[in-house]
Parts: sequence; C-alpha cells; structure tokens
Amino acid sequence: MPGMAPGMQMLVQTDDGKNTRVQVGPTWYLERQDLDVKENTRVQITGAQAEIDGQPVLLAREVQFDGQLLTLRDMQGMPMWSSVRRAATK
Amino acid sequence: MKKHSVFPGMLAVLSLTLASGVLAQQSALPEQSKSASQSSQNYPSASDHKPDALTAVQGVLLSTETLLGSDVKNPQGQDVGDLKHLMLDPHTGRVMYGVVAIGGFLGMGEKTIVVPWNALEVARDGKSLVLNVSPQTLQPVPAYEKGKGPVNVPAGETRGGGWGVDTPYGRLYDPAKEQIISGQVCQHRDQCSYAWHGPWYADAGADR
Repeated sequence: MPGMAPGMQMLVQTDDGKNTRVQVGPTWYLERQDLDVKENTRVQITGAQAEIDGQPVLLAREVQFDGQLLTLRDMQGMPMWSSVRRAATK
Repeated sequence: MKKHSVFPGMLAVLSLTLASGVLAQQSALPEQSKSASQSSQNYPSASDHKPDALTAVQGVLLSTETLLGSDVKNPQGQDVGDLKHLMLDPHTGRVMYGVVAIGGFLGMGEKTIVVPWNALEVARDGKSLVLNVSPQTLQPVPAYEKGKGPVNVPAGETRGGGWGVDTPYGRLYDPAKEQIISGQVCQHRDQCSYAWHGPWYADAGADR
C-alpha cells in the first residue's frame, strides 16, 4: 500500500491489566533516536486513541521509560518525522 | 528526485529561479568545487559554465516549463486539476509545495490549493502528475490565495517522500482523545508484551 513503511508497534500491558497496542513510529525514524525499549520495560505513554484496520491503537506522542523521554509528535499530534512539520518550524 | 525516475532519459535543467538554480548548480559541481564555492561565497562567472560542469549533473531534473500546467489526476486516472505554481524554500532551494487548481470533481467547486510537493508523483506515462488524495480530503482544505492569509495544506501526506502523517492524507491523531497509560512492554502476544515491526501507516520517503 502506498504510504506504508516498516514501523514499530508495542503491546503494553497496562497497570489495570488491559493490553494496548501502541503505534510508536516508522522504523527508520526510531533507529535514529537510539530507542531501546526492551521487553518488560515499564513505560508511560501519552498518546491518542485511534483505529487502524478496525483495531484500536494508541498513537504515541511521548514515551517515557528508564528515565528517558522520547517525543514522537508535537502537541497537535504532528509526527516529528513529518516534513510538513519540519517545513512549518523552519 | 526519485519521483521523476519514471521519465527515463529525460534531462532538463531546473530553471526555476535563483534558489533552485543554485541547487542545480551545486549538484553539478564536484565536491571540491562545491565546498570551495560555498566557503568563498563567490558567485560563478560566465567562464565557470563549462561543458564539463554540465555533464556532471546527476539524475533527472525537470524544468518548470515542463511541470507547470501539467494535468493532475487521481490514481484512477481521473482529472483532478492542474499544476499552477511551485513554492520553494528559498534557503534550501527545495520545492516544498505544488499549487494545484482543482475543481469539477464530484461536485466540488474549483479552487486553488497547496499540497506538499511529495504528494505529487509523475504518472507512469510521463504526461501528468498523480495526486493520491481523495476528493473528500481535499474538500475542506482552504483555498490558497497569494498574499492572503496563511498557506494551508492537507494535514497528511501521502507516501514516503511524504513524511507523512498517519495515513495517506488522513490524519489520525486527535489531541482531544489523548490519554496517558502506564504499564509493561510485553514480549509475546500470548503473554501481552511484544514489540514487533509491522506495516506503518505513514511515510518514509524522500528526505529520509
């Protein structure tokens, strides 16, 4: 499908026992962020609920883990990897 | 620009303006000459335009003369509009947006809109541009009027070069639906935690 590239999702078991699919970002971008979230890592994720292919997912805006903060989107949800966003902030 | 790779054998020098002229020229220069030129800030003299430099141009470039006025179609080959202008980043010389006049499609009135340049692709037949965006997405985009108000672009981008947002021209992220969750990343589906690489709705693209 046009517009698709390899990306990373995580399944997170929340403290209330629910499993949440988290859409993190395209692989090429994450590889540049030195992101290393291992299994069983505790994470806190700020994101917005959405639906992709009929499945509920959480689109991550910020991921906190091991004292690190990874910002993936701005407050409006525009991805950091978006050229539109980059053009607007130049 | 890989989007133009469907124009085999076509080589025309971008004659856009000062900015893209510089871009084209830098592409044409060997590395040593390029850095020397950049550091000295000297403008080239007429004697610098030697045939050797021209033959060093890599890739395929299109002149604005070729592009402007081109038909813009959707992926199904239906007419969407035509390309009126290009908008450049004067600092980088890159083409950032295409200004497209659209109209008469599914009852939509004609108007001029701005779309990210990487949302446009040269059609396989080389005779038109393809804008892979639904009319429903284009409809709410405010019309562009030169010198009047901000430039509004569709919230998403289409493909790779797209750098996209979440889906082709469909922005999924709704700040009103934001929430915070805490938990553990799981390893296996049946346990809960797994991290995997799957299809990503967005972009990849051009300025990777």
